[in-house]
Amino acid sequence: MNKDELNYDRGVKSNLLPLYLKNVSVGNVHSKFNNGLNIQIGENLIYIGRFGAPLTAFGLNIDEAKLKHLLGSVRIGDLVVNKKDKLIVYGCEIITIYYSALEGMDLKLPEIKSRVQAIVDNPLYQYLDTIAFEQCLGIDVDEKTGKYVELLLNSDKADEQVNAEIIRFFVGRGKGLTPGGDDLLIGFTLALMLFGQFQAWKKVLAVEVNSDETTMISVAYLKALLAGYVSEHFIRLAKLIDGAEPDAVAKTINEIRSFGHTSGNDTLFGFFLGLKYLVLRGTKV
Amino acid sequence: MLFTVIKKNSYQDSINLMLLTNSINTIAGITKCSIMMGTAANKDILKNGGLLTAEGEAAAPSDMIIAIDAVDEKIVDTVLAEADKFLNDLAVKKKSKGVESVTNLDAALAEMPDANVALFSIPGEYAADEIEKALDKGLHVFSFTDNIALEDEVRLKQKAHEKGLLLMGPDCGTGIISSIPLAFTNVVRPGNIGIVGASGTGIQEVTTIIDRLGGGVVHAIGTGGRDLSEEVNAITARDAILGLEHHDPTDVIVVISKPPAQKVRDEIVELLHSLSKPVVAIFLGEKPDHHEGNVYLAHTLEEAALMAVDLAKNNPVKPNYMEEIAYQVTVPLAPEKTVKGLYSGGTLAAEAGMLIAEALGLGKLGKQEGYILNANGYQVMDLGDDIYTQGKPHPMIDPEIRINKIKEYAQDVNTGVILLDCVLGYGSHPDMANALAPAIKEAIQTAKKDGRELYFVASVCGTEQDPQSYKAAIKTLQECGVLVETSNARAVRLSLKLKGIDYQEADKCVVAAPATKQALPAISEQILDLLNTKPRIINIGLTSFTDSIFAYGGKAVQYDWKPAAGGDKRLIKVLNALAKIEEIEIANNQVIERMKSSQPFLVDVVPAKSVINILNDKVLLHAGPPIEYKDMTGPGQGACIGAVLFEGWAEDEQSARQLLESGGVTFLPCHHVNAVGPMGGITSGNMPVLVVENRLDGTVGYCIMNEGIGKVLRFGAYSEEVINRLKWMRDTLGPVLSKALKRKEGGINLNVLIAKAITMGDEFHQRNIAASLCFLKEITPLITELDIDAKEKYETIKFLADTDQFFLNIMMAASKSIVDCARKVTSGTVVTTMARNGRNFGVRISGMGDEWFTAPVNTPDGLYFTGYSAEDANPDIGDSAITETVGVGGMAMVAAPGVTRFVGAGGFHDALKVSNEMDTICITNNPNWSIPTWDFKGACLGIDARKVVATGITPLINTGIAHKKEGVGQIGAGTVRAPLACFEKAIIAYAKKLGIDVE
Repeated sequence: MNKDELNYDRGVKSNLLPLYLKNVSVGNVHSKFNNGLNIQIGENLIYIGRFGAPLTAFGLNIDEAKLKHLLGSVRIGDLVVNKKDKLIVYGCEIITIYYSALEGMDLKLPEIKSRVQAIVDNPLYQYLDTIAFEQCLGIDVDEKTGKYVELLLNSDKADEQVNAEIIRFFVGRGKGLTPGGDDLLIGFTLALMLFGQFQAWKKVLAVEVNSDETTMISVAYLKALLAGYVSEHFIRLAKLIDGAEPDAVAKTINEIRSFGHTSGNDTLFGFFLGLKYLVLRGTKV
Repeated sequence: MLFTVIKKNSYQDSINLMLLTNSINTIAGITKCSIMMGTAANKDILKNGGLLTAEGEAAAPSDMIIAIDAVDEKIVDTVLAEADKFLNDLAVKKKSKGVESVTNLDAALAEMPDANVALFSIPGEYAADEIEKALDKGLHVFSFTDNIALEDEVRLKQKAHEKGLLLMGPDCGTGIISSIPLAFTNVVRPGNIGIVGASGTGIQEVTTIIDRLGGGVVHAIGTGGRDLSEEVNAITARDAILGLEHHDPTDVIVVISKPPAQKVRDEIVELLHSLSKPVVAIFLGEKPDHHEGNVYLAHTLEEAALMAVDLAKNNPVKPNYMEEIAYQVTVPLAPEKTVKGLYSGGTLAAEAGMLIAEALGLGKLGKQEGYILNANGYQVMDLGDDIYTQGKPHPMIDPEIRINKIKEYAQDVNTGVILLDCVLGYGSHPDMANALAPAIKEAIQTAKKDGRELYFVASVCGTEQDPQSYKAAIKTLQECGVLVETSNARAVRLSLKLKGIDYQEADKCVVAAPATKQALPAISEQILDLLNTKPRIINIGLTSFTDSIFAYGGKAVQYDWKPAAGGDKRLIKVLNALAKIEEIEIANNQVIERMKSSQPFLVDVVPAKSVINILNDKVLLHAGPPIEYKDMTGPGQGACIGAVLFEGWAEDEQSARQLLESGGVTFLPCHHVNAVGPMGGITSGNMPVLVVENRLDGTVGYCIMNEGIGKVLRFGAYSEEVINRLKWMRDTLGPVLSKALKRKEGGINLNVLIAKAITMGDEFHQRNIAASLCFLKEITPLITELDIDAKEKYETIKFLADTDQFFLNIMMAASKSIVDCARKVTSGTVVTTMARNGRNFGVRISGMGDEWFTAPVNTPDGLYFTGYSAEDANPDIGDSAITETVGVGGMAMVAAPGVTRFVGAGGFHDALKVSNEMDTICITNNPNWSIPTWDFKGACLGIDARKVVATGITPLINTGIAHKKEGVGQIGAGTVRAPLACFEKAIIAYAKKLGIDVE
């Protein structure tokens, strides 16, 4: 901690964070990017990003200058200690993040009023239907993928065996920090969770999407989703289902599409498949 | 046959010289060689090694002695070439690293005003005073330096404590401050564990194990091995522990100590019980059977590390941390086979000795002659002990001693296990495992051939981030047959297992801590700052210590230390005593303030006797400190003859000589009557003198006028031509200039003229052409206005225009008016006069008034006019060094780089080097005389005799060179150094005057 550092930070944190930081004391810097870093603390990841950028489900965003200072100081593997109101990062410099004073943001999945039957007429669904996702995904759209997409749309989500087959195909598929297959599964599950419980699907997902099969970051996103928390982007996306002007839909979708290399598109594609699955099912479970 | 080469004033630190010695000893044809500084202790070592000759005995502490035992004398040249290459490479390395380096503490602080730590690696015999200076400047001290007297350690630690500072050491080999490794230290991941350790390798072992377990260390504060002794009473350890208690990022505190004094140990434990944070403590040699409250007591360094990591992760402390040794022993070694420990780390050796002694019931350890343990054939040696390292590098750097011991022990049929440590990290050998490998392989093979069982067991103390690779070291050792364990304790246990002994620890429970807690004292702001920021370090000594500082984000400035006063301890003592007298600084500032505020004006030219009353008698003034005619050198005597002839006191040369030899003329230094004179400085009553008035307080300075070049009186010429010119100067030049100056109200402002000319390339001793022209520019209109004969006007202007050095004498009179004004402050150590009489160089300092301090003059080095050589040169002579006294001349060489060529002193960079060097012996710079080629820095001002004595840097004087025979005149120009001895005498006299014991 620098002498001039105030016991206060400007920023925002996910309301999932207090749950993650409860009863854990020591972690490490897991990964580091241009605009943020992940800390592994206990079994969870916490993403520290820039204040002003969309907040991640398991994240906290801090002032840009402090984030830069932090990124300049830490190396992967550096220790992080959680004290009751702060994280102390032991990098080249010791930097303290006072998280308890940060403003909390509710990233719990919103309740949706719309019924499944209304999805096809929804401007969001219609907009997604116009996107040529095949050309901008992080997974190869080949015959085999086509087969599993079909299965995803048409299988019984109460059938754990089929669920496992589908999930095993997609998990870890593709390149990057969150492989395209994982993003697709997350988007799909998000759509399902807005309209029902789908316990069997979620149960298999929790087992099959693990750090042996894919990246720790993908696991973290899925884990947050299964706990009912998503990133700020997807809260906005979910809220569009209950009605929005076409401009607002386009704006949100474009923002999501620009996220990551193909990650936004992969997730939206999954989300679209989820809605489509619900439409095909024609019922609210 | 012994050969000795002495490199005068060539200071190098001992580690570099030991490494150089090692390198030289590998040259074919060398029987033995040792390269050391000429301190008394080193001479003893050379003597014991049969390498001390008479030349070596005569060397000063600041001289480097190269002592060679070789058959062929030709090898000496090879050695010198190798030594030069080695030392040059060191300089190049430093340059390429871009390390800022300075030569004194004040300069270091100027370079880094926010410095907060001084890191010492200098010889112990000089260190106490240097450490005290650093503490007085408000710096924490990290002293890698050892061999500091216990009473000094106590005194300095008390002082540090009173000032709110930490004195880490002496003999502090290891430290981590805010994650920056200092000295011989491993690179350890930063984390929430803070360590206080009175043990170097103890800290290294604990920190590296913590790192390898995934924990991290934010601070590891070394206290020095004696801190927990009864005498030192843990002054540093207490402050460091309290500091960590108040350091928010530290969650767990580890205290490591070699066997402490019982009373101190108990007090420290009482303090630990009063902390709010969990503590792991290891007092090596103790075998604790329980923990006390929040204080967890460890038996081994490994156990301390394991407990600390658990606490740091908020895990409960386990009752037992001993894990099985995986290596399977089917048939234990025979009873007569024993374990031999060959350690480079003292604490690791102590731990090995302790564990073996406990396992075998050998009783308490008693250290003797480098053995930590020597009982029943079991031996553990600390090869870093003084008896093995005298004049040799530490075994962590140099594998030689261990290689020899491995060979020796491998021959012993009773050696069953050779136990080793391999310490990595900054400062250690770049690849110790590989260096030891051939000896290990050979030993194993020999034993195998002889049908003997011989095991090598080792542990590597290091981390993957160390400059040497931890994994690579293990691999190398394993590949040559060494059984490698993950800690020293485990390596010892494996050695015992090979003997069939299964060493076990009993479980430890936690008992309640004492109910009462002591109130904790407050901690200083400086210690909080040290622990909460990256250190800003002045590295005093080994340059390589800056490597780890820079690599891990710290700041450092390199102070290339060398012993003050050439290592003369009497003078060092005097200088240190003077440094503590604040009044000297005040007085010195008053002296230089007068110099700075001086306003010299050239107001008149008058016959000398009209202003110097004594010249109305048969008296001649001379340059320099007092001297009689008989003792004068050729130029002085020649000038006397000329003056006698000029005054008409004798008809011819012979009668003039008779008059002078008979004592018919009285002599007096110019300096005693407000005057100065160039070269011989011979001034008689009828010679016209320039009158300079210092408007600050009316002090006047006089100087005869410059006669031009060629055959002139000041160089001892007295031919008719010379006398006639003097008469013309008396009858025409003097009166004309006097009249002209009277037309200028108040006279000519010389500060303005000097300021102009210094920007035009004059330094006012060897080069005055710009000033002379500026003077001509001022005076010519005044002369042309005079109502005198046109011929007189022409002759005067022509003479001035032809005489490039005319202004030198004006400058000398101006300088005299400045120093005599400043000399009215009668305290302090500012040099107020430097003058030479051809035999002696004399100085006066402000605090000693009119008293001269003299030493034999040097002969100038320089370039000679065709037909002359150094053999013809007269020793240094003249009062013209008054210009250097006020900071110009040689001091301002950079202002006149052209002069450096003329005086044979090199080019621009050499000129710059001279002025930079002169700057280090001066108190300040003169803003009135700003030098463009020095980035407009003012000329040097206020030579401090203390600095001259401390640094051994004497003022450099630009000078003309007179022929040693009278009457010949100038034969060249060059530079000359003031002799150091006169400054030393002045300082000792002043110290005596102030009541300082100088014996």
